[in-house]
Amino acid sequence: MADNEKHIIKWLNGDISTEELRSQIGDDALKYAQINQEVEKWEPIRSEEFLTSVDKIIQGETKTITRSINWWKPLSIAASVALLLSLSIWLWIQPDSTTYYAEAGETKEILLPDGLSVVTLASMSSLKLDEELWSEGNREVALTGKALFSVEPGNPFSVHTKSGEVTVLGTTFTVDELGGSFHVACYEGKVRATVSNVSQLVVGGESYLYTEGKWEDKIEISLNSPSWLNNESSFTNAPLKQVIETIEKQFEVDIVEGKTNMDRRFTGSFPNDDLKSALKIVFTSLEIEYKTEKNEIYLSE
Amino acid sequence: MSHSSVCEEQVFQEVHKSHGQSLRNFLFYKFGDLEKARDFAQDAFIKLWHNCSKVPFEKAKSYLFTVANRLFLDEVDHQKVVLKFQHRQNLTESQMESNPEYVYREEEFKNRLEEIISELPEKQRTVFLLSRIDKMKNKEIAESLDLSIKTVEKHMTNSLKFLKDNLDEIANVKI
Repeated sequence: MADNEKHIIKWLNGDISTEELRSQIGDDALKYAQINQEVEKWEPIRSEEFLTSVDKIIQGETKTITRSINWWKPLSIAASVALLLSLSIWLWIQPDSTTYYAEAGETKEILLPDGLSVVTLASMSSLKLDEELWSEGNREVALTGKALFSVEPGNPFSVHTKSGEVTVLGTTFTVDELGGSFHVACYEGKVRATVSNVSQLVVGGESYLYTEGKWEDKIEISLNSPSWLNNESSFTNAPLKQVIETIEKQFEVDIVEGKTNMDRRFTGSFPNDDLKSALKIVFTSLEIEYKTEKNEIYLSE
Repeated sequence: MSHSSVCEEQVFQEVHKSHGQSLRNFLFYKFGDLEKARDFAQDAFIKLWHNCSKVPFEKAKSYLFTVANRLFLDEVDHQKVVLKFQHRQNLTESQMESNPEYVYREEEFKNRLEEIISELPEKQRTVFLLSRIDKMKNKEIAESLDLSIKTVEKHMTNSLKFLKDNLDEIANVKI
């Protein structure tokens, strides 16, 4: 009985197929699969009508709770909700947009609608664009994760992410928005990266990291293309959170941080096809202990 | 020292983007009123914004769920819930495919399943639906609801068994 449960949990987590479950626990597996398939398709009725909104909160309009309000805080930052955010959110909810996605452990090359520019998506990253906008000459894409862009000269080209945006004319560069920070590396030409209205010019051979509310000093890059294209991930003074999210996406694992101090930085490279080495390289160098249990990795100091 | 502060607008927006819907749904699964669920979830975000300097980024999610849960306990009489669902519009192709090996007859299946899910004990129901509908991983659910992963797994398997047993019972009565 307890054995059955183990198999069901694995199946629920997507680690084994319905057929495998069936071979372990019998035809009940088909019943579970039917239940699961139905429920997975659900959402509350009128789900889109009753959504929470934080714009009002940030602008200081509070509806129900009136206790302990610091009026100065919402007021002081209300003005800076930039065009950037509304634009990228708008791009994300575009109904006619096309989304590309790179599965775990793979990279995906996409020829953009201008027929010349190419994007290479890193593992588990996705790119969204609206072809109608492109046909009007607006070269805009929304990125979640990490990607290399090779942009042909022409109309301005913009990349929107949750953290910031990059605008260019024609060049080769990468954008990485993992772990709440924003990293832009430029291999050719010149790009302008903007977070919260603060711009940073990045020229070929340079990279910049935006974290903790500011742009850090530039880091020179020596490669002609990002290391993840050559099947390794490399970091220079990168926030630990960014490194951990890269590992999670590359190897499809969960890393449980526990009480680990996340303010650390990591410099180094790990292979993209060898989880054991990656863990050893990152965590041993930072003197963090780790324990692997199936798809979860527990950290401790 | 601290990397992402919830007091930064963009961080707060991001927290909302990743947890807004699941928080509202969590409350909906508890008491079955979507509008009220939205209002409580909204209140939880307001509390988070006002206390942003005291809540570290990593704790924002469990803070939201804890606050929402408390608001729910304060206000709602525990009565029988009746949960109703619709099919999502943006289903992926694999989700639209129908399985040729269906065991239960398809007619009325959705209605029966809704009824039985409404009868699940509240904790099991919320865990099960957060996992299946909101696609939250067991680890995320555990963190949000302050449970161990083992408990979450237990709720998941118990829910499935409860649903299957009840569906079997109905199927037998019908025949």
